[in-house]
Amino acid sequence: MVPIGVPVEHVIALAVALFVIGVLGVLLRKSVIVMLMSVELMLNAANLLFVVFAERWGVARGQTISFFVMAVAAAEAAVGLAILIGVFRTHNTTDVDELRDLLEQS
Amino acid sequence: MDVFVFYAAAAITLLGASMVLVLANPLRAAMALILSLGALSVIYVLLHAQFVAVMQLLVYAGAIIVLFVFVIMLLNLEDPKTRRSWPWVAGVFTIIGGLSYGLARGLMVDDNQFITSGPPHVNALSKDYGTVEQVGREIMTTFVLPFEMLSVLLLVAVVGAVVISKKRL
Repeated sequence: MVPIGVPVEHVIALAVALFVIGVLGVLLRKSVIVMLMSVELMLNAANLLFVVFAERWGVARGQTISFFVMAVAAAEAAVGLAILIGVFRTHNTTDVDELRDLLEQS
Repeated sequence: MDVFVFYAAAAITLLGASMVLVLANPLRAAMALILSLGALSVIYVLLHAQFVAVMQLLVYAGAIIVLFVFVIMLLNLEDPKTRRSWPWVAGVFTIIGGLSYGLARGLMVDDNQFITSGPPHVNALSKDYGTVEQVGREIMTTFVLPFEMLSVLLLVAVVGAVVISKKRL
């Protein structure tokens, strides 16, 4: 039990659900920008697990790690969106199905 | 009371996340993401992680989402047909999610598995647990090297973002 009286399994279930929604967002959406948002959701699911287990063990180290994860997420979003702007400038779309320059010409 | 707040916040988190998945307009998806991450920060407060909760709001609502919204508006994105037609993917990953949850739960419920073998703790949270002071002290002592590397990473990310998105150097 976490101190607030919620079984730790429920928090884990929340994190798993959040992660699955993030994966589905990356796989099912076509817009690159929404895919990046879904990646943020997945990172947040991982963060939630860090925080809940930190509290479960009474060691604040997990919170420190989640702080680092957040900073890396910020860096990732900045670079990802910059790439998106560059791609949009040359291709005029953010649809991943139309961005197939790396595919062999067929 | 706390329990009720937790479940309400969890429901809002999942609602916001599902809206990110479903809403066609990217701007609305970004707003739904704020909803989700804000509710998640409520959960962080309940888990005695005040510092992480505040950082969550500052970094995500204050920086990342603003960046997303700026890019969406800059590119004037609006794509109505925005979803793939792979309905089976949703099923497969829901099953995978259920299995991994079941695995985690199975590992915890069995005796002598990782959770139950940990030190007993729950009522032994120190008074300053999760405060800026404690987390900050840890960052500045144990994790000072990763912290400095993180600042280098952020610098590289900023420079890289400018270089990539600039038309000509």
